[in-house]
Amino acid sequence: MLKYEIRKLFFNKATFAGVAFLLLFNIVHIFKDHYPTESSDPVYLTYLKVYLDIRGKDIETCRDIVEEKRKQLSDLPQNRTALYAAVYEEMLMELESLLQFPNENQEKREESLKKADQYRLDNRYLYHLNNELAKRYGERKLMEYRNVNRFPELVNYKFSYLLIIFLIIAGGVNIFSGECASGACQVIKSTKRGHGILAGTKMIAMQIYVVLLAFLFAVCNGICFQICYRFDSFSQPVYAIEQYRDLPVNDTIMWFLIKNFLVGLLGLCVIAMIVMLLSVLIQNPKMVFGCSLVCVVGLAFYRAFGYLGTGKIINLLNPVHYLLGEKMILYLETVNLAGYAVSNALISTGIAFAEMIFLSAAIVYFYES
Amino acid sequence: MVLKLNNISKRYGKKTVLNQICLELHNGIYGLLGPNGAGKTTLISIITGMLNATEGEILCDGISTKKLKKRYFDYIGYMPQYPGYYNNFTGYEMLDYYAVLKGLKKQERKVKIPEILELVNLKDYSGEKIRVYSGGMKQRLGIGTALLNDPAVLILDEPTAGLDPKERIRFRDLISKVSSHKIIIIATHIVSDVESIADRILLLNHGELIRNGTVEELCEEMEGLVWPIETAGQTKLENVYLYHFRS
Repeated sequence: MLKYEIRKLFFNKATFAGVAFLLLFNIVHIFKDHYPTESSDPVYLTYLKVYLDIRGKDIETCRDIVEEKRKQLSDLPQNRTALYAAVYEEMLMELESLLQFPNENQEKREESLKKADQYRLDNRYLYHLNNELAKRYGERKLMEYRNVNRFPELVNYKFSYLLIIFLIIAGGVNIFSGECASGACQVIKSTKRGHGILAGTKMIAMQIYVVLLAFLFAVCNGICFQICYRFDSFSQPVYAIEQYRDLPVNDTIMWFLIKNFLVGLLGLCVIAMIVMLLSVLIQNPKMVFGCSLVCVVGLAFYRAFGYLGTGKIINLLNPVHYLLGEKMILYLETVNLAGYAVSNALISTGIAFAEMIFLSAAIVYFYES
Repeated sequence: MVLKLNNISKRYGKKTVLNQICLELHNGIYGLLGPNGAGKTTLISIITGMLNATEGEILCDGISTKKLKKRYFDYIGYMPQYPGYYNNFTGYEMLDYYAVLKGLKKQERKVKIPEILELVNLKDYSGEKIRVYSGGMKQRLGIGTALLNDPAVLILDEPTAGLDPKERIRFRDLISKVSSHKIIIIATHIVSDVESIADRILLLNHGELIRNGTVEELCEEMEGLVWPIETAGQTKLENVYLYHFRS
């Protein structure tokens, strides 16, 4: 049954054409905004040239090489070397800060341990939280220098989510209402397995569609950004990225990207369930399409403007919130659960699964009735 | 097989769509006739289990359908007026899909589907996409779909709508072929389609069953009440239909 539901849902020329077109659009969008050229991003291109000399070397050696190159530069006319001088300056600053990195971590570790000691007796939650922070800062070290500073460009790229959501809505509107409009549901509902079992199978087919779409676009984004920025390592820790250096995350970049993908996927799955619920409730596919769009835009607005006070808690139910999953993962947001500091990301994941179970039950209920 | 409808009523708010329908159906072909809005589709929806009656119950060989629950669908084969074909499926795939929905196991499907394709004369086109099928072929495929679980009750809603005369004759032959040991209910506006094959005619108007009898019985009732005009080319049953639904 699943095989046929998958075929009905997305094994057709229209869906393939839609996916191919939007994938191409996504690629063009990335290259238009991110591909470094002599006119758009000369600093980065110069950095890449300099980077080849220090690639994979330990920080101290890198600093010496760049320092040496900067000295050599002073012998040349300034108008020809301004760009290189700026790049060397910036790199030296970063390398100096990297040399200070072990000391800074040690300080942060000691500070966290001190706080943990203070809270040992009267606040178990803060005690556990600071112990965790101390553990994380204590484990950090950077052995070599790699080009990873532009990873946040990939992490913050959210345009593909818009395209995926559009494809989810376009594919999902017909899942129930299309059959009602064509009359097929009359035959289906006169069969033994055409009720709850079929609704469940349709939901699974839809989730497979969502996973495939998300994976396809994630791979496409990864390849395009790799071509644009020529990242050098996925096995470096997240704190190797300059922008994330102070955040208490010790995962490798690859693991962080996978986690980020999974949290975003969870949000997309919940959105797909909402579209399916609308498809069960409304018989006209065009109306389902319109209502789904309004619903997603509403959720996005609430995520953007309702992220204060009680809105912060309500937004945990908002699937659009999960599309910005990197914030949940990067910032050690925790909740006090029986004295233990439980990660907000873990709780949010639980909430998303609970939402999906609730929506599944609602879909089966309305489909059967 | 006996299908008994006990005081079936359906109301939407204050509007009564079906009123106290009592019927006992035995094996044979029944023509369900009535004008638009008579309640034919509602009655069919209740018999197929898609809709719950406001009052009354249906007994299947003496057992209430409420008791049978989903097992009741094993007795039912249904082809609505617009069955909603999946144009990117082949004829074989469409039958296989519905066979899965009807709970047929893989081995059963392997035997049953070729049989059905042979029966509805679509064996040579089973690998073709449905989008290339003619109206008549689609209708035969729809009947094939309804027959997959070898149902004891076969319900066909406006099965000949949009078919040319040749396909209508083919349809009648097909129904006659499968009619043994089945209750077949054909809801239609086209009186001539059921006149020659129906064992009994059910006349439904304003949600009430106004007549239930053989073609001969209904025609006899009309003796002296109807004066057929030869030039109109109407059959006897059409005269009965026009008499009852003249308003």
